[in-house]
Amino acid sequence: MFPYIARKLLSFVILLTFLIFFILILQKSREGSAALILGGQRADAKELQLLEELTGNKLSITGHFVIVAKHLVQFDFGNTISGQPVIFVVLNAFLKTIVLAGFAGAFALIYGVSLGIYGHYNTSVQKYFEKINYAMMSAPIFIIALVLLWVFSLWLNWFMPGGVDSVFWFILPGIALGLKSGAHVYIFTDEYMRRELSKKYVLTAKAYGYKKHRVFSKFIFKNMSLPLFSFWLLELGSYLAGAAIVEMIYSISGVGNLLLRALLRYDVNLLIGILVLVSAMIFIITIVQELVDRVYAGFLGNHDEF
Amino acid sequence: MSFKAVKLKDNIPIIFVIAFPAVLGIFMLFGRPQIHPQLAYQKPYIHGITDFSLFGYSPLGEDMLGLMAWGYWQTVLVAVFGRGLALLLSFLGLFIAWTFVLPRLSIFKFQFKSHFGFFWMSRFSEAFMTIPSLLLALSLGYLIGEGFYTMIIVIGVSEWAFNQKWLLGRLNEYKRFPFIEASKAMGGGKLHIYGRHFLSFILSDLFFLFFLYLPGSLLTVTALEFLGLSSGSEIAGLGSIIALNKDLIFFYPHVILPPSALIIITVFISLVLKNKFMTKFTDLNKVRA
Repeated sequence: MFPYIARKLLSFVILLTFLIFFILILQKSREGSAALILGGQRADAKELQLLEELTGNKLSITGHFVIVAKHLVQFDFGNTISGQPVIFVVLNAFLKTIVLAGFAGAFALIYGVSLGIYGHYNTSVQKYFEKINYAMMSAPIFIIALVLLWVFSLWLNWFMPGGVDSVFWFILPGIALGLKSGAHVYIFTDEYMRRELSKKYVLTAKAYGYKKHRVFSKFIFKNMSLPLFSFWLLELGSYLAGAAIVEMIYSISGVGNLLLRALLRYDVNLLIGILVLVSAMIFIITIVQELVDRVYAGFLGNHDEF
Repeated sequence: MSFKAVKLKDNIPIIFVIAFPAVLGIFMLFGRPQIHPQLAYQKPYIHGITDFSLFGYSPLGEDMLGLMAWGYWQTVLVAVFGRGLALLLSFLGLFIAWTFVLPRLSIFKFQFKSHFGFFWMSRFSEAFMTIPSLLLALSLGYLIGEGFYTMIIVIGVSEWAFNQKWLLGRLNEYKRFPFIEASKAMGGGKLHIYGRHFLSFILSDLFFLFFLYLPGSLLTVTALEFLGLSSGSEIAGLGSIIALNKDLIFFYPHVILPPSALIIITVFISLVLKNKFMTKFTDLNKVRA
């Protein structure tokens, strides 16, 4: 397992090196600069010159790359154009995004699994569940987020329309982010249930006189838990991307909003910091997910080579 | 001679797929909607056979139907060409993976075998998948600069890795087919095997892959448009129309609800198409196996 992780880590580091270099090239060729954003119309030529030096705009691409690489090795990512340490700014935003993703993940799991199982328990509602979830899968996250905002915040006044003051404020954005993923979890649960219900052990359990809900909870759900967890971990990565949209709509100062700010303010250190940290997070999730898959394969007696 | 009965019910999705864009295309023939400040915010009305507006007017006084038709085509074309670029990149990546001999470098051992290209391309695409495609697309879009072609490049690059990983998996399966082994044993070179045996399989894979990720591409394009990446200076995509009018929902719902419904219908059609091709593809794979 260790050589496998080491190989993956090596390719991940090589890719990030390429990506950072590519971002620096694009940033240099982009119109405008961080100095212009900071100085605005008030700054004269001399002040702009000074700001250009301060923000690293005068550096060559390789020079800038060496500085960024040095910061990456020290794991501090340098400073933002406003002079704050990137690592603190990103981690502060990351915490909010993680809470949001946590809410979304929990909601998706509860929503998808409960609907998936209930659909097979009460088959008359199954086709409606299927249609609703297909419609959910067809809707972009921003439309779901906007509809929830209009209905529950602006019309019914049940939730705050934006900002973050307590954990309670994450509920509506969490639902908005998790609903689409919940539809994916529903499809997964439904397919799994369909497959398992046709297996012999279910028939045997029924023949022994187990009630429907006992068969579901005692046998099928138990069998489903590991692959479901693996599938859910795969979905977690998408929350970090979807968070960018939800954070913008609900004015949450998370990673997505920070990324937009970094792009609009030409803050290359902040941009690199966000992309590296988010990618590292997803890299860890991928490794955990593959470990879970390996454990599941072990249960099935199918030991794949890593 | 026998005729196979064609059921209308089975072909409804296909008919819808052709008819829906065609109807919107007809509305494009009337020309790009013009700004008429005096008609701004006007709600849908029907005063007569010639005097009507089915979807009302935008805050700038543009006809909403025309705006949606142009926006629909802009969004769909970006998604379709973006998918095309992603597939082209992954096709080239597959060729490199099959033909190139690169050192398989490991911190534990140094090997030099014939599948080095495959090994590196596989690792590289796996690593690429750890970067969230939407965040990558957003970053690239802002760094390169807005525009129709930028959006296509952004979609192509950010979605390349998923296609590449999928195609590499398929190549791994094809490599084990007995007739490939036989071709190798008879002295068939890498290029010969790729061109003569793999290509026909890969082309059908590419066709399937196009529809497999099309719903995702459409959602990414609309999301990028919503986040402020414009795919055209003169025509607003569907995501941009919603982003511009999202605060007007309670006063002028006609400027936001129809474009939202249009996006959902478009993605739903692509999902139906995906499912239809997935069934056909599974059948084809059974025949191949």
